[in-house]
Parts: sequence; C-alpha cells; structure tokens
Amino acid sequence: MKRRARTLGVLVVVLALSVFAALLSGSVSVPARAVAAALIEPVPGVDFEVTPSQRAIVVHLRLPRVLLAAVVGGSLALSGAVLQGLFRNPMADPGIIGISSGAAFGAVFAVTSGLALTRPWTLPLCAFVVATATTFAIYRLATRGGRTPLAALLLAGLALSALLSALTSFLLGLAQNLLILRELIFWLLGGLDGRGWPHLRLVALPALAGSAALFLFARDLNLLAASGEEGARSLGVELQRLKRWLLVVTALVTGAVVSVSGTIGFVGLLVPHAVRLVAGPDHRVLLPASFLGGASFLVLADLLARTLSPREELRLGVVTAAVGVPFFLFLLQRHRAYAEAV
Amino acid sequence: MGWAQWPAGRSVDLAIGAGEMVGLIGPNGAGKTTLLRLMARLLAPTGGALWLDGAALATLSQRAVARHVAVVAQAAPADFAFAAGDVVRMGRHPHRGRFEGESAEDEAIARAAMTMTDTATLAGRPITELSAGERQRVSLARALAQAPRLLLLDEPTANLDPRHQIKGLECIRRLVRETRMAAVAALHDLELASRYCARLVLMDFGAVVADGPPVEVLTPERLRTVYGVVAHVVPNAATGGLSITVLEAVEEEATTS
Amino acid sequence: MKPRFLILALVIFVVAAAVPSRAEQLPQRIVSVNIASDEILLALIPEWLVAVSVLADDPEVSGVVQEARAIPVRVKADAERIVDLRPDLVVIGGHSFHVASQLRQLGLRVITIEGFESIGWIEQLVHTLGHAVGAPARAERLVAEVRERLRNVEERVAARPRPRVLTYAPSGYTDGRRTILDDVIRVAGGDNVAAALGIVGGRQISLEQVIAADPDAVVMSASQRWAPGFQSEFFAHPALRTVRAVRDRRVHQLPGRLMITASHHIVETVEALAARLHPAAFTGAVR
Repeated sequence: MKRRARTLGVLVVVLALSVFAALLSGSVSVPARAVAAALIEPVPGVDFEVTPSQRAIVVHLRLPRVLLAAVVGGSLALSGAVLQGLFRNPMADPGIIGISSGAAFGAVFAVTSGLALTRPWTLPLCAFVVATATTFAIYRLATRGGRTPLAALLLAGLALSALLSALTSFLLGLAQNLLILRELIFWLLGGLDGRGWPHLRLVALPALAGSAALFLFARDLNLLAASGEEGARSLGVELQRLKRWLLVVTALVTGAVVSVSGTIGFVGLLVPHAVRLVAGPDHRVLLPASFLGGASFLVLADLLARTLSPREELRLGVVTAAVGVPFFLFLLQRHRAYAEAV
Repeated sequence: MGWAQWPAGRSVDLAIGAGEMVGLIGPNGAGKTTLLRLMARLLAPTGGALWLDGAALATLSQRAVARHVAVVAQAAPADFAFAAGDVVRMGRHPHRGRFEGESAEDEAIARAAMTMTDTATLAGRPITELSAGERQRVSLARALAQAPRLLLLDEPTANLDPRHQIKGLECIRRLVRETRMAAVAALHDLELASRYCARLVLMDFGAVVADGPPVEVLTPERLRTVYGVVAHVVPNAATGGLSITVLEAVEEEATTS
Repeated sequence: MKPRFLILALVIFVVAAAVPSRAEQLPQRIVSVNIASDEILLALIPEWLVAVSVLADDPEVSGVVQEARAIPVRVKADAERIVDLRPDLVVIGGHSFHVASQLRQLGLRVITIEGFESIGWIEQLVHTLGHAVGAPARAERLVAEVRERLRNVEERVAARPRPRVLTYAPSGYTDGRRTILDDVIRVAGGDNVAAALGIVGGRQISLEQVIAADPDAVVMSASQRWAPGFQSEFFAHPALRTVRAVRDRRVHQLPGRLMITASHHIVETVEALAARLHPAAFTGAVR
C-alpha cells in the first residue's frame, strides 16, 4: 500500500514538473518568473513583472493546450491499460475497438462534406459520434447469445477498422482543395495546435468523469488478468456486464479526446506497458499510474512538437511514434532475450 | 446439495452432500470437465436444473455462487506477473463489497490457505516465474481462500510431483472432514482417486455409469468396458485404496454408442 | 455615370464623417500574415505595418521584396508570436482558422481573407483593408489605378480573336470559374478552357481532358521551387505533343508570384499574359 502511494506520488510530481516545463516553452520566450506571475491572479497594487501579452500567451495559449495534452494523454493511456487487461493482451490499445479509424472517418467526412464549415464544433462532434458508433457496431457484431468472446471482438474490430480506413482514404482522394487536405492530414497525424479553453471545456468532463469511472473497475480487471475469463467468473465477476461497461466507458473517453486531438498512436499502447514494467500488473496502481504517466508523456511530447523545429510545428503523432518505436524495439529485444534464456 | 441436469443428448442425475469427497473419473471426453463447469455455473444446462443448498443455481448471482463454490481449473493462466500472494488474496473477492478494502480477517484466511498448500514461501514471487505445479498449488490456495462450501477441482494433480499430489489431496480430505466442505475432483489417477475419495462417480460418453465406493465402481469389468483395458484390481492395505495394474489394452471392437 | 458618382460621393462623405470619430481606433500596429495583405498594406500604409509574413522576402512568391525591407519583423501563423507583437489589427488567411479564432478570443481585431474568387474580389479586399486601416482614399486610388490599367488592356485586345487558354499546375491543377486566373484570362483577351469544361474553382484535370480540349495556349508558373522539372516534363510528354498549344509553341511561363498573387499586383499578371496572347497589340508598350 505504501509502495503504491509512493509510485503515484512520484508520478504526480513528474506531471507537475512536465506541465511547468511545457508552460515555460513556446515560440516566444517568456521568463520563468513571468510564467509563474501570469498564473497567479493579479493583485491590485502589487507589480508582478508580467506584461499583458505575456499573460495572454501563458494563460490563454499555453495553459489550456498543456492541460489538454495532459487530459488526452492520460485518457489514452488509461484506456490502453483497461483494454490490455480486458483482452489479457499487452498489445491492445484503444485502436483495437475501432476508435481511431472511426474518429478519423468522422473527421474526414465532416470536412470533405462541407459540414465542418457550418459550425466549429461539427468536426469534433462527427469524430466522436462515428467513433462511438464504431465501437457499438463492433460490440454488436461480436456478441451472440448474450456472450462476447474476445476473439470475436478482435476480429470485428479489425474488419471494421479496415473498412473505415478504406472509406477514409476514398474521401481523402476526392478532396480537391489542397489546404483542406493539408488540414485533414494534420488532423490524422494528431496535434493540439490552435486548441484552447473551448476545446478543453468540451472534453474535460467526459474524459475525466469516464476515467474516474474506469478506476472503479481495477479489482475486476485484476481478477480477469490473473485468472482468465472463467477464473474471474468463478470468483464472482459478472463478466458480460463488465465487458459492456468497460467497452462503453473506454469508447466514450477515447472518443471524446480523439475528437479534439486527432489520432495519436503509441500512447495507449506503450505507457501502460512501461508503467507495468515499473509498478507491476496490479490495476489498482496500474490504472491511475497509467493516467498520470500518459498525461506527462503527452505534455512532454507536445512540448517537443512545439519547440524542436523552429520552422514548422511537428505533428504530435510523429513525436509519439518517434519515441514509441525505439521503446517498442527495446521491449521486443527484452522479450526475445528472455525467451532465449528460458 | 442436489444437482440434476441434462447436458446435450444425455442426462445426469447427481446429488452431492456436505462433507463428501467425490472423485469424478472416466476416460477423456467423458464429460467430466463439462459436469464440473455446469456445477460451477460456468455453463448453463440445456435442460433440467441445478440446485445449491435448495436454491436454484440459475437464480443466484455470480457473486453469490462464488461465495459458496470454488473452482480449481486445469491450467492456470500466467499472462501477467501478479505476485502469488496477490492471486491467493483475490479468492476473498466474492466476500468483499465493491468499495471495501482488505480486512485483517481476509489476510489471515489467505495466509492459512497458503500454509495448507505449502505455497507460503512463494507469496512474493510473480506467477510467471513459477513452475506449472507451483501455479497449480497457488490456484488451489486461492480456491481455499474463497472458503467455499463446495470445492470443484479439474485434474488438480496433473502437474504435481508425488509429494505435492499427496499433500494436496490430504489437505482437501482434511478440510472436508473438519469443515464439512464438499469436494468433487476430476481425477485421471485411479489409484489416488480410490485412496482419497470415499465415493467415485464414473462417467462415460456424458452419462454416469457407476456411483459408489471405489471397490464397487472400479471393478475389472468396468475397467474393461469403460477404459478398454484388462487390469488387475486389489485392495491396498498400506494406502487404504486400491492397487490397479493395467495388463494390456483390449482389442478395439466395433463401437456403438 | 452620374448616379454612380453620387453614390461614390455619398460613400466618401459617410467615410469622411466616420473617420474623425474613429480616429482614436485606427490601428497603428498592424500585423500581416498573408502575402496578399502584405502586398496591399505595403501599398496603402507601410508606416503602420509592424510585421509582414515570412513569404514577403521570397521573390518567387512576393511582389514586394523591396518594400518589405522597411518592415523589420517577419511572422507566420503562430499565435504566440503574433500576440507578442501587441498588434491592434491582424490580417490573416482564412485557412489558419485555428490561429484566427484564438486571436479573436484574446480580444484582438482579426480580418480573415477568404474567397480568392475574382478580380472584383481583389478590389473589394483592397477597399476592406483600406477602410480597416483608415486609408480609404488611398485604397480608392489604388483600385482606380488598377481599373485604368485593366481597361487599357481590354481596349487593346478587344477586336482580336480570343485564343482558348488553359492554366496548368503540378498534379494537374487548373483554374475554372470563380478563380482569379479565370478573370485574368478573360481580361487578357482569352477564353478559359477549364471554365468551358464546367470546372469551378481549382480542380485537377486529367491529361486526357487536356488533350481532348486541345487548348490554343497553356499558361503555367515558371517557378522550379515546388515541382522541379514540371515544365520540362510537360514539354517532353509524348501524348501532349499533339496539343495545339505545344505544337505552336504557345505554352507560356509566367513568374511564379504573378500566378498566385491576390493583390492589386494582379494587373501585372493580366498585362504579362495579354502581351503573350496578343503580342501584336503590345509591341513596345508593356513588359
């Protein structure tokens, strides 16, 4: 118990440091004192050494974006951890239930059909609706006689993702306006550029409420991961209901964040993995630790995306892949070494 | 406790009482595992019904069943590196509310289960590093931690060395006597079954062929018709069970079933 | 003619009456993040321009490289940089809608440039920007100058037979109705093939369609920057050799910046194209 608290405590500190580091960085250099001063409400009579434009930059441009990165990263990592426990497969990630391909199709459809031009929220709304509808469809396809075999869920997910990818490519091919195409591709590669308080307000409630709900299933996930489906049932887990709840809440959480951030890979897959290596498979610590770890990871990735290249902002999905792939290979290496040693 | 159900095409009528240790025997594919799963409510019968302590099994919640019935499965999965002690403690899950933590009593019960199964020294080790036999004992400890009224075991001695085979079955027999727990174990080792189980249920092709004390069930004729072997059966004074020596396999006749 | 004059006078009167009351609101720190507004604002009020876009220094894209030297700061669609300049007016392209909305939320005055549909649209843009920066008279003069020069070209090519002209860009993009180049072709004395084919806006056209349309003249950018070899590939393509424009050597390359400009500099594009389509009408008069 003490070890659990210590791990989470360390992760909270890491997140706080990441957030502050991200607030310090941007295309305009704002000194640390000014950043700190900008975050505190102005007190009349006390001079805080921060200009109005600095305050505007820190509070209205950087702060919401950094907080959004934390919420998105945390939600994706948590969803990944939940799905890995549910499928008892460390290779699972939110894409497995069709969220990524659904959101991508929704977004591309919204833009190419002209719907996104009517109101600014049409794009996230379309992405969210199609993403959750996809998960629902996958669940229905895989469920027969009140049971949802995991293998069927996987296959249905693969099939539907492939279909949606094809449709998305089809729509992209039809697009004639080069600027719109560029925007779409940027969305598909993931990014938080231009996201501010309105986006955060839209996403924070479903993402955080859903994440809190997922924490409640830690014990059930432990049983599932340790004993298998039948073992968990023999220990009193209402398996079908558990699967349904986990799928619904995960879809809502992931759908909500992906609709604003675009599809970002590797966070949902690798952060839970890394956390499991350090903190063990107990979901009571794994779930909150994944959330915190994912939040820090994406905050730092967004920091890199903004500041690495002076010319153009890097796409978030590219940064997470650049970090993710070497880690992936490292894991593979470790696994192979282990297998050879045995 | 009474059970009655009809698996596909066949019917079985069976009653298990408290304090009974029943050995479930029969060749591969006879339906032993299916029967155990039906009793654990992991499967629903296609006809008939099962009762647990007078209550129809189908009306009970999964959790309620889990408070009374524990299952030790044939193979224990080891995908994630949970510590053995944590796995055993999971056996207390049916007795705890969603938001309750672990009590001292839960801890004590789990520890006692580990002592009984000789797994106390394994408590801190991840199950992915344990041998199949050690994992089997951990599964047994977890089932015992559930404090069940009915313990169902599917080939519990399959991966164990002789010492642990004996210790495991001893422990179960003692618990059955002391706590009036009922145990039903599917066993392939007929000598062990005859030694530890006061009652044997012999199955073949999904039906019960014989039900009674070992000396009545394991006759050379039964062994011939059900197992297809010629065997020599004598009581073993040293163990209290039977000694079965398989002499030869019977020539295959045209099968009718 | 007379009613028009009256309306014009009315507009000037209204604007003049409005000017004193808006004197304190006239922007004095203007940031331009778009090459079209760079060119227009540098012609209208260079004295109040604080920053222009990074494209302004690139001769392949900008017609105001010289004038931009007087403006010290370069900017792109980066909200932080823009806010740091403490502007009171930002002019930005419509495709940067994220940045534009962020700036608006911070309370900044933002003009987004969208449309790019015709020369009339350009005139409207000059007027809009002129009013926004408090220089409506200068804007009026600029537009009048443009109209004068365009009228000049129209008169010269009026009686001449109109060649069928196609614009062509990398990836097969051409300009149909409701584009600036469509107007350019018309004023320069040609008929837009893409418009005749029913194309609206900037769209791709297949090589088959090009060959079937068989234009008399083709216009493309001379710029090598973004698709090097594009021009030589066009000439070398065996299937295109049968096209009249290629046979008669009437594939005209105009400087890149003239092909993409959306400011009053469009006049230069018209003049350059007209001189190539009807060389006889422009001997010695225009470059």
